Amino acid sequence: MITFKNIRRVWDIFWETAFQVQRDKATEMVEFELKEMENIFVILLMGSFVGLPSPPAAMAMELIPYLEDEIRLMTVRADFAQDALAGLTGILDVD
Amino acid sequence: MSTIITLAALVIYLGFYFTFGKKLQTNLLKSQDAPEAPSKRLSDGVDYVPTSKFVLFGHHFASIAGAGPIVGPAMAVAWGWLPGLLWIWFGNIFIGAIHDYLSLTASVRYDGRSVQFVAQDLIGKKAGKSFGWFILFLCILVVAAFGAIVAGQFASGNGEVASTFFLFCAAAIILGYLMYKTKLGIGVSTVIGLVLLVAAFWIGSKAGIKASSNVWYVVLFFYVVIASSLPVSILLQPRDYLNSFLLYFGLLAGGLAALIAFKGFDSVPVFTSFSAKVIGGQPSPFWPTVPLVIACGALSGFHSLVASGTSSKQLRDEKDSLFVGYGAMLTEGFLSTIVVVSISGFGILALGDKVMSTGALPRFTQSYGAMVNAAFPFMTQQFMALFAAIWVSSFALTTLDTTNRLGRYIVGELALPLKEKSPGAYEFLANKWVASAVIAVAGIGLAWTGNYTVLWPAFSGANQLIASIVMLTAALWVKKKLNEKYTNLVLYPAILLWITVTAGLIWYELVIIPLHFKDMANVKNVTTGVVVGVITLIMLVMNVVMIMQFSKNFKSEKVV
Amino acid sequence: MKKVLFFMGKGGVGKTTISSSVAFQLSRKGYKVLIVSLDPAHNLGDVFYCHLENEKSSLAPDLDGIEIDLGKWVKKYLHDSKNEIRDTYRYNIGINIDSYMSILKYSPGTEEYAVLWAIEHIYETWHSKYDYIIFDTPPTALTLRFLAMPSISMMWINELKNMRERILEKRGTVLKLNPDAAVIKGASDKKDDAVFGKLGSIRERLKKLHLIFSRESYMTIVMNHDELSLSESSRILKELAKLDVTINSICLNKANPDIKINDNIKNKLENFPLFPAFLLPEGLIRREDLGRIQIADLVDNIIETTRGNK
Repeated sequence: MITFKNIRRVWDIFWETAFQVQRDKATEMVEFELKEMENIFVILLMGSFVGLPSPPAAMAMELIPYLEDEIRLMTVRADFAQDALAGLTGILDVD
Repeated sequence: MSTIITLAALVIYLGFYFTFGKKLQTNLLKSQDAPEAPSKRLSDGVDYVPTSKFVLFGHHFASIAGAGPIVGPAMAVAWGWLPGLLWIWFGNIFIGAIHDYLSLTASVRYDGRSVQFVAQDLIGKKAGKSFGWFILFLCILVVAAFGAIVAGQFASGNGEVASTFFLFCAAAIILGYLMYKTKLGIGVSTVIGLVLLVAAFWIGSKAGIKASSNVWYVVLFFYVVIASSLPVSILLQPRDYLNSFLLYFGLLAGGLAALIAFKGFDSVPVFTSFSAKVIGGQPSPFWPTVPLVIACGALSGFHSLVASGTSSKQLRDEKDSLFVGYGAMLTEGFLSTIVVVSISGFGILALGDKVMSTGALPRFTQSYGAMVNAAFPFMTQQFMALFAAIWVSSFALTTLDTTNRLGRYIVGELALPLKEKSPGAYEFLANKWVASAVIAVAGIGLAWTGNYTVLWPAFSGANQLIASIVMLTAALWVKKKLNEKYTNLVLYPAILLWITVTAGLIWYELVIIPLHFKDMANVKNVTTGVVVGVITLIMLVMNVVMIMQFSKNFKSEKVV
Repeated sequence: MKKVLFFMGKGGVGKTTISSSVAFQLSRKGYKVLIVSLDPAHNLGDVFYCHLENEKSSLAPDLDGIEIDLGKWVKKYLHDSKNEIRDTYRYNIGINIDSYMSILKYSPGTEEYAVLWAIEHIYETWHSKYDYIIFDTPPTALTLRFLAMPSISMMWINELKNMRERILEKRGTVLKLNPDAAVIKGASDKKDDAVFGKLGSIRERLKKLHLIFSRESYMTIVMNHDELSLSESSRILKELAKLDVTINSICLNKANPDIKINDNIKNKLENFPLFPAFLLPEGLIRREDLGRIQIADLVDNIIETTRGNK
């Protein structure tokens, strides 16, 4: 049944979607940049665990408890780095 | 006529979406029985994030729609309006949309890995490698083609397009500052940004910057190098955001105008000749050269990368991939249809009897202006033509920026094997500025020496070759991992595409490239001929290697 | 006012003897003194003819001593970190964390840190109760490393802090514009970000330690009358100059009153007050012998430098 209420609902959903698309559009590259920065931050901190120089592992240990999300991000990014071309293309609007 | 064609396009696209597309979904892919989508299974809140299909559609569409689906069809009307339109409709439905749809779904089944990974898995390492090379060539050629088109556009008239574009960039920079550096919310900054956008158009249309295209090549070169080295939040991101508004407005105004304008197609003949002068001013046979002219809009290899790079990790449910992958591509076909409609119907109003002799981009922008003006008289023809020019130029120039960024990565990636053998060479090529300059010098250099009617087909060729690998991959995927019964549904278009593009590029290599060597004293022509000729040749060789690898794997019963 | 004394130098030159007798003689003058041995090869107990535990014990009136067990400090340090992790991941207790931690024991830098935190701990606990805290340092290499640690790490921490700040700012921007963005939804305000806070507190601690080393300490190099010991002392001087740590005096131990001091030593170290400490002919036998080692000049210089005119 097409009722005023239904139309109203579709209308709301449409605008909600449109706004979300635009919000994503306004931030997608910055998001990508942010993720890379957090990744690098953790790599800098955790470097001593994988043989990178500095800082002392001891210092990193103090921060580990607060970096749960970032460390997960680091592992995700490590995976992503093996297959980055498409991801990069998706972010950078070529074409 | 314009209304009939536009309606026909809607009916055909929607019809195929609900019949053919749905059949693909339920019978071939059996998405209803698919395992949980990777966005949920591997959800990490970072890359794998379940997202509504409508949001994803908008995002995906805005990513794939750019200047490509406009320029190609505008060139193709030289064959008459019907041949191009048929390719935009049926090439899209049976090849392009399937290509996007399957690459998206395959990526979903591969846990969101990219189509490059899938190709590597199914065809072999060489397929993965050749992706990199094709993308590199594509980056150079797209800079060349778009550079030539934009420089021509900038140098035309009183330079209003140039001045408006730079004001537009300024608006984007201010918007970026407001959004990313101040406390203003997205709503307020967007409103300010749009006001600035309108102001840019208003001022730009009054005060042009007059300069020759040679000057613009220099400016573009520096633009590419500088813009691509800025942080994304300064220019790239806010302009991309503003671009999407241009796209929505352009598509909406154009679509409505095309629907309600009731105009006969008297500007362009239905059919001119099988060998109209399209590529390099030479008689170009419609088959096999049409995919070298109409790329995006009917089929684009780039889409598979966009689809499998980000969209596939965010699909909430595999069933949504029909809407996102297939649907977005059909929508892009609709955009290309509007381009054909505007030129065929309104070209004569804007350009008189010069429709066929005008360059592709002004041919579209002027016609578009006339079309929107005819439907909505309060929007002047001149203003809407400027709008269309900025719309295309801005997308093209964003591409110049992004391809340079992408190219930097690719150059380093391809140089990786050198790391052991000659570390010096590797260090050199992996250097950000060197890689950036390689793309910019080669790209803008070609734009300067060559003609867009020669460069554009080479770019499209590279693009279609990527699409061709993807289609072959998809055929293998269907045969080995899905339902062998349906293999031909993908295999035939894949083979048809491969033969067409290969034949097209061979024709290009034999007919267009030698033209550049007629007068060996003309250094510009010779350079274009050598560079584009060599690139095309390498691509052809890789393409042959690819089909051999494919047929070997296709015949083998080994389950990969 | 300086109240921390460091005695450093090559192994075997008599750091422990000199620091002990300085401690003893200062306590005789009525100052309350704590002597701390950081040297893993402890011989403070041997000098005082008693058994020193990791706990503080009294050696003489107004003189207490501690031998720091570095291994224990490393363990304590790792234990604290481990507990912090365990508390954070309460829901997932104990999976492999211990074994990872034991890897840490071998990680370079842990020992320096343990020394640093030990110094910090002793300073914080005792500096208000004593007039002097005297550190008998471990061999030169480790000493230089832990003295350098605060300033080296501080640059690192500063850079990390700046980067963290940019990340938080960017995070705030993205979430302001697009609350559903696929990014880490952590704090975007510096005040609420535990990592930022922790970085800041590490920075503060390191800064304080650096201040102790560079401003609040009286540093003495102990050396012998030979070329080897001279070259090592020059190296210490050079390294410490880079760290903005000044040497207040040099003590020439085991000197022979009958032999003139080598010109080479005089020339190289002419900018520093040089105090000879002469050998006791009969050797060090009783605790009271510490009072007989003739370093009155050095002790006076220390008091003068640290107490002003007193």
